[in-house]
Amino acid sequence: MGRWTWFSLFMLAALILAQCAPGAPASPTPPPQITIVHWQHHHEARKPVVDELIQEFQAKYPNVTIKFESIPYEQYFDKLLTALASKTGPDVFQIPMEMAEQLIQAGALAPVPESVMTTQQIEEAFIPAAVRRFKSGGKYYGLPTDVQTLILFINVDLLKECGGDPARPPATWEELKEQARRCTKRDAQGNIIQAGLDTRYRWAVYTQAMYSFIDGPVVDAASCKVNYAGPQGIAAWKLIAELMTGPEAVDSPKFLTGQRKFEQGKAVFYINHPVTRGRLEREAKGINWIVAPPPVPAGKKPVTPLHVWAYVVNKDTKNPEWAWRWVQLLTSKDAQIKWFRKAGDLPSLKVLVSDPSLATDEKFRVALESMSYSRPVEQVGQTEVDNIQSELWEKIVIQGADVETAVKEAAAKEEQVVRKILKCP
Amino acid sequence: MVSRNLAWALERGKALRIRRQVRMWIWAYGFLAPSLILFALIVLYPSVEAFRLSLYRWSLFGEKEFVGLANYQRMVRDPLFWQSLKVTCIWTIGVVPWVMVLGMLTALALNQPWLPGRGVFRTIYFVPVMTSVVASAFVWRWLFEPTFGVVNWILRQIGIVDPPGWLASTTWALPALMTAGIWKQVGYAMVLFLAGLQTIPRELREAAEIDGANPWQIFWHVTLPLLNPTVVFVAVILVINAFRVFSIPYVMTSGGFTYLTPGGPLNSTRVFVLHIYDLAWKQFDFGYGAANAIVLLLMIMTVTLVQLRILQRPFEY
Repeated sequence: MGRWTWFSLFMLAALILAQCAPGAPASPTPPPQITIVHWQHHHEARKPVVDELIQEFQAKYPNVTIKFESIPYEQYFDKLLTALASKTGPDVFQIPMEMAEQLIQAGALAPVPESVMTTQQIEEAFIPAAVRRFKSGGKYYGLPTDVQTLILFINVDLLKECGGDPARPPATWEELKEQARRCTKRDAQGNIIQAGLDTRYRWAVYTQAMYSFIDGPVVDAASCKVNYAGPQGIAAWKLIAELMTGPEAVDSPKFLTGQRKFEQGKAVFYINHPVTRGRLEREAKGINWIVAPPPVPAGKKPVTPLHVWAYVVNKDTKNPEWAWRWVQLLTSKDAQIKWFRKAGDLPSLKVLVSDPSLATDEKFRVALESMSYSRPVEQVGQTEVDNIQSELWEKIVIQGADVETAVKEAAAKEEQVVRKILKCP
Repeated sequence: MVSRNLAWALERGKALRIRRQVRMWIWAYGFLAPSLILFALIVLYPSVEAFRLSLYRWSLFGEKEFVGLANYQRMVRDPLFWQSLKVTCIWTIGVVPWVMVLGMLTALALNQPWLPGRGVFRTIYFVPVMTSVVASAFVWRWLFEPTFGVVNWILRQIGIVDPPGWLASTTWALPALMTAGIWKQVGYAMVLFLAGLQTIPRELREAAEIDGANPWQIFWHVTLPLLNPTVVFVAVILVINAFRVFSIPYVMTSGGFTYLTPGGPLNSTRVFVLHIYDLAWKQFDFGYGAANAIVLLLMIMTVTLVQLRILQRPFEY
C-alpha cells in the first residue's frame, strides 16, 4: 500500500479511538440565550417603566434579552396584525379588550400555561373585570395591563378665572355643562379661543356619557345587541349635542383642530384616563391641575367605564415559557405599583386595588377610587366600531343631524359588526 | 447545376437571415429580461394576486373563503365606495386643470429669455416637488389650522370675520387638501412644459410674428399644438397621480395625532386609496380591499385610454 493510504488509515484509526476514549470532565453548559421580542403602543409615560422592568428582568435572568419596540399608536395595529399574519410577529404584545374575542378565535394567542399561573391563581389575583374578556374555553389568554377608567381633569387656574371653585368640581353633567359654558371664551367674531371642555379625545366624552346614562349593558354580547339606541342612550347623545352645538358650545372642532387643548392650557375640563397624569407631568409642567370623578346624570350613582388591555403571547413564539414569565413580571405586584406611580395605569391585582397606601396624593386617590365605581367597557370590535361612533359624533356635531335618527342608524350598524365578530346566528 | 447552386445559395441566405434574426431576438430579450423580470415580480404578480384575493373573504387570520364576485357586488351597495369615488373625482377635476394651467403659465414666463434670475425662479418653483410630501402636509395642516393658522389670519386681515373651519369642516377640508396638492405639483408640470417649450423651434414663432400674429395667436396656433405631446403626457401623469393620492389626505385629515378615522370629517376627504387602506389595514377586510384596488386599476386604465384618445393630436412642422 502506498504512503498516503497508510496515512489515511492511521488518521481514521486515530479518529475512531478518539471517539471511544473517555472525555475530560465537561464544563457546565451555559443556559441558551433567549431573545423575547416585545411590542407595545407608545406612550410617553409608559416607555420608561417598560425600560426599567426590562433591566430588572434581564438582571434576574441574564440569559434572556428583551427586545422592546415602542410603536406609535396610529401604526401599532397595522404593524402588529400584519406581522402576526405573516408569522413575523413579536413574542409578547398588548391588545385592547375589545379585540380579545377576535384574536382568540383566530388562534393568534397562546394561553397562559399552568406552570406560569393556573386559572384559579389568575382569578384569585386579578379583579374579574380586568381578565374576563381574555378567557375562552376555560383558559386565559392574557394578563391585564393598562387598566384605565375615565376621570375629570381640571385646570385650576382657568377654573378660578371663570369663577369656579376647584374644591367643588362638577359632579353631574348639568354642572359640568354650566361650568364649561361659563369658562368657554370667544373672540369678537364668536370663535372659541378657550374651550370649556377639551373634546379632542371624543371617545372619552361619548363613552362616559353612554355608560353613565345607560343602566343596563351598552353592548350585550350574550344576545348580540347594541342598546344605546334606547331612550337613555339617546339622552346621552343629546347631551353631546348640547355640549358641542349652538352658541353655547363648550368646544368646537374648529378650535385647535386635532390638538391637545388641555395640555396647552387652552381648556378648563378634560375627560381622560388616569394615565394622562404621566403625560401632563412630563409635557405640561406649567399647568396647575387636579382630578375629580367624572360627571354622571343628576340623581345617579358615580360610574365610569373601565377599559383594559392585556399582555398576550404569540401562539407562534419559540419561547412560550419565557414569554409568559416576562408577562408575569410586567403584571406583578411590584410592576403594577410602578405602573401606577410612574405612568398612571391603575392596578388590576385585588390586593392593590384595595390598598390605601398606594394613594400617596389626592390625584392618585381619585384615580384609584374610580375603580370602585367602574363598569367594564362592553365594546366588541375596534376600528369598525370606532369609525361608526366617530361618524355618529360628526353627524351630530358638524352636520347638526337629528340625534335620534343618527343614533339609531349607528346602533344598527354597530350591531351588524358585533354579530359578525361574535358569529351570532 | 447553376440553378441548383442558386437555390442552395438562396436557402443558405434565408437560413443565415433567420439565424441572425434569432440572435438579435436573443440579444434584445436578454437586455429586456432584467426589467421584464422585475416588472413581472413587482407589478404583474402582485396584480394577479390582488385580483385572486378579491375573489375571497379574508380578514388576515383564519382560512380564506372563496366568494367569487360577491366583493364587487358589495361595492355597488357600499355608500363609502361611492363617497370615496366622488371625493377622488372632485380632487382630480379640481387639482389637475389648475396644476396644468399654473404649470404652463409658469413655464411660459420662465421661458422668456429677457427674464432675469430665471434659474432661481425655476428652483423656487421646483422646491415643493422635492420636499417630503409628509413634512409639507404637516406644515399645510398648521397653515390651515382654523384658530391660529396663517391662512385664516390672512383672511381675517382682509375682512373675512368668519373664515372657514378648513380641516374641521365637511365643506372646506377637501379644498384645503387640494390647495396643498396643487402647490406640490405645479413645479413638476412646469419643468415638463419648460422642456417641451424648448423643443419648439424659435423660427416657427418668429415666422408667425412676421406674419403679424399677436402673442395669444402665436400661443394658441403655434405653441400649444406643438406642445401637444407634452400636454398629453402631463395630463395623463397628473390624472393617474390624482387617482392615487394618499399622503396629503392621510396626514392632513386622518388618524395619527388626531385619533380620527380615515377620511376626514364625515368622510369628506376619503379619497379612493385611503378607502382601500382603511378597508384592508384598519378593518382587515383584505378581500374587499383588494376588490376596490382592482376597480381603481381599471378606472385608471380606462381614464388614461380615454385621455389619450381625446387629447392626442397629430402635428407636423
